[in-house]
Amino acid sequence: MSAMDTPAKRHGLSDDDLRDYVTGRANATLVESVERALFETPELLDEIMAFEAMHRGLAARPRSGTTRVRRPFSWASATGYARAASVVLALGGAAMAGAWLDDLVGRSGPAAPVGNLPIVVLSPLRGAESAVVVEARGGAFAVEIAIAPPFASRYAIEFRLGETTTLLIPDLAPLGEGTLTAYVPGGTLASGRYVLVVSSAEQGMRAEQVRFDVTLR
Amino acid sequence: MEASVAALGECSATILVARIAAGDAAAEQELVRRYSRVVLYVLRRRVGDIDLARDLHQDTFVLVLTRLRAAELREPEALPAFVRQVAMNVATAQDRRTHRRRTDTDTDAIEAIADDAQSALDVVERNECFDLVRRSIDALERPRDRDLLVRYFVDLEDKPSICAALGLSTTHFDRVLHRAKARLRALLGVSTTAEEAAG
Repeated sequence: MSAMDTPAKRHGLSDDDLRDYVTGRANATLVESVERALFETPELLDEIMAFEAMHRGLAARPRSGTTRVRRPFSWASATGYARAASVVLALGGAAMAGAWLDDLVGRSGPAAPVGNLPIVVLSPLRGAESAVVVEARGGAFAVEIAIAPPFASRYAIEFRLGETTTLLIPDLAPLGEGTLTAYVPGGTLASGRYVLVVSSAEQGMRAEQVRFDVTLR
Repeated sequence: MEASVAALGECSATILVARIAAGDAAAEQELVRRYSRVVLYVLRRRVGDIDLARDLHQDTFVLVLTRLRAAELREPEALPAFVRQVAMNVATAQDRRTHRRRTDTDTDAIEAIADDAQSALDVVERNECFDLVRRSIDALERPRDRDLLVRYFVDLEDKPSICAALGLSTTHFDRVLHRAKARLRALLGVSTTAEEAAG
């Protein structure tokens, strides 16, 4: 690695790539490339944050000189940044300027995860034998489903209540060796007895399915 | 035996995964330290709300650690991809929930109201965000260099067309861009690469 390397360059990402990522112009392939690089080299985030700050700050700057046609820019997604920045700037001082960045990305140190997320482990055998009871109490929970043998690279999970699909989570990738982990946000599902269906359309018109009987309380 | 978090700072994903599977709490802390900012950033970008992103960030690490404690990651070198995939799956589930809520209501009317409310706030926030970056931009002595940055970051023009319009070489373009990034990163208190420091 040379002294001239940056995390972006080590991953073959150009300035244009980073700019397009932070401005939302990147296509799905580029987004995936940038984010894979981010997880491989978390230091890349500093570079991306500099681009993002530059983009937002310049867009907010009064224009001078010749007028050019400006492409649409949505500030809707910038609210969190700007609100945090406003607090920092109200306090004043360059030393404080990094705080809004810290707030955004948790630089100050993450809280240690608290293991209070119920995780329900399902297997096809268990699903065939009996109902599983989940004590979610309206909060978030996760289900881990062993897909053995795996029959697709992408799956969808449905929670069905009677004839109605109450929750559909599409395009889930299995983690590791054929284990599917699905996150169910809090407040999504009411108490009741559901049929949980794991399926994939990759095999053609006739989707394979794995079904579970899940009761939520 | 548990290693200290500091000692684990540079260890490979393979070692980290093995230590977590062996019950090393320091290794769990190192995992969170290593990926926390990136997970939070990517989640915030996906869900658009920092508070929600924090909740999903927490749940992502619960899921990741649960799997790693159970030694279920068969390819430890794939740890970065694994953490990312868990975060993406968590975000996908959240997206679905948000989408379902929207279809249950008159979304056009609600979004119109939200846009109106947002616009007033934006005026204030734009001015404040401007102050933060102004220090970096105004330090550029040449108006042409400032114009270059606006064309690139705001007008989203391509580098070749900017260089042609301003009569610049790509080398000069890169130099201005790197100087501006280095200055801004110094303001934000993040590390500067050797290249950017050299300007």
